[in-house]
Amino acid sequence: MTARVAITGLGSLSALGNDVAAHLAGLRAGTVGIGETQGVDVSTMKTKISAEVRGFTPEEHFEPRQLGLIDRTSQFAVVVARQALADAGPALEGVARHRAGAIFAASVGFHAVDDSYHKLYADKAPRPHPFTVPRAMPSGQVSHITMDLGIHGPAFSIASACSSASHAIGTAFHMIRSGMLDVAVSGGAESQLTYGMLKSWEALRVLAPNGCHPFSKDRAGLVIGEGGGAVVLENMDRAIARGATIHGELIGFGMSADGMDITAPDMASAADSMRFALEDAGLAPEQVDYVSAHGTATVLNDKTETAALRHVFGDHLTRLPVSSSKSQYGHTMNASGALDMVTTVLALREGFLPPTMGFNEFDPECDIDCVPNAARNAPIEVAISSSFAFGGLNAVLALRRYNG
Amino acid sequence: MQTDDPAVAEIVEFISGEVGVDSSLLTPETPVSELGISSLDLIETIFKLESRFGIEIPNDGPLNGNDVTVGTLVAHVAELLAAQKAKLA
Repeated sequence: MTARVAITGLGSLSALGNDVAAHLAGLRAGTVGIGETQGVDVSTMKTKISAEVRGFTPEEHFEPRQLGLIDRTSQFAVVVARQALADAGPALEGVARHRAGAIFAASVGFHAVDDSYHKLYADKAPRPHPFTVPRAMPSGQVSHITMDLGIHGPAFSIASACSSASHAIGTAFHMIRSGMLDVAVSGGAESQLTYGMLKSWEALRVLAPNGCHPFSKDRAGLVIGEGGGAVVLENMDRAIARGATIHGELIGFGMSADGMDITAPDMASAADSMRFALEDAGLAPEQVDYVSAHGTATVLNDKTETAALRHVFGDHLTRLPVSSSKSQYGHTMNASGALDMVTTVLALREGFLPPTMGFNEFDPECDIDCVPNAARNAPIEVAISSSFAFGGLNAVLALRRYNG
Repeated sequence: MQTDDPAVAEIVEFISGEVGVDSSLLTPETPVSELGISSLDLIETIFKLESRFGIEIPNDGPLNGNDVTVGTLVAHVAELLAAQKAKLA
């Protein structure tokens, strides 16, 4: 017997804004949250743009004593998890301790590493900040969430680069569907906006100098973003019984590994993960109304993703809108799967197609309807959200609109 | 790759050593991908060329693509080296 899985809470923090209402407004309006980087000295870098979270004041969310222990990444994670649980109402009430879990992306606390190593190497400080280790550890975000929300069941972090949050949400989905958990908080956060990481991404030669243009002929690479996304997933019967507001239903999860290359994507394997998600959800390709694409805006990703979509959807692709919200809130790395999930839930619930902004020129290698430059209203019922990570680790979530 | 220019010869020799391909196979028309150099290997080779010769190879130059030839790579590095020498002189 398998349980249906309801999405009863949403939380988000990104360049589009610091809560879900701002996220929804930004998606609908086609807001582009990309601009000149303010939080890092980019004077020695060619790429001066990023998608930063603005107006986030840690002191509004944490006690001074806590702040030394929580990296910016974990701050985002705790804030979005709080938002999601507040949205879900008393989802944890009456749940046995071992039947509520938290599964999040594993993200290094890069700000802690950058600050402490700079003090050691450049300033010749005798020792780094004493909390460098707890701030940097990749499981930090999920640990802080369990402490903050009072979760005492299964809790851990999942690392699969830019698919981390999608793998986390998919795993939480499996745990509820199989009957192991009643409720899970899941998602991911990350901020790689440090001097060291921006220089490292620049050295890899994948950053766009001027903007994020997914599926556009003039696309020139990705734009780094930061942020976090979280969802509360819940056993459907329980959610209905307690009268929860149900934002949508998670109905399938597909995974695959390219087993090929540490950066370049593989068409067949990306297609497999989409196909497995449809199979898991019991969907025919023609039933899908919208795809929230990985769409990083590198030359290679977008043409490979288009070919994979063609492989899975065939002629249906001519009628299937596919968009990349990275054009609005950048590539938030380990958070991207969670933010895209929130985006997809909102699209289904509100009945609209989020746009691909920054689209300038048709590319025959990306011959899709990418919802160019403006959101459109559309009564969509079923959608998938794709994450295809560096190292060929793919995770695709399938969702359905909840009609009561 | 035959050359009388000692600067070019040095670049070719360095690339040959880095990618483990005999310098006689490095003809100008050969796409680097045919030498078993993936796009990721090329990025590392560019980085090593930058370190070895003290130059900066821009991200948006002629090496930013999937069909770079040995000739394009060597000529671009030689050009940047010459420009640097002229600047220092």
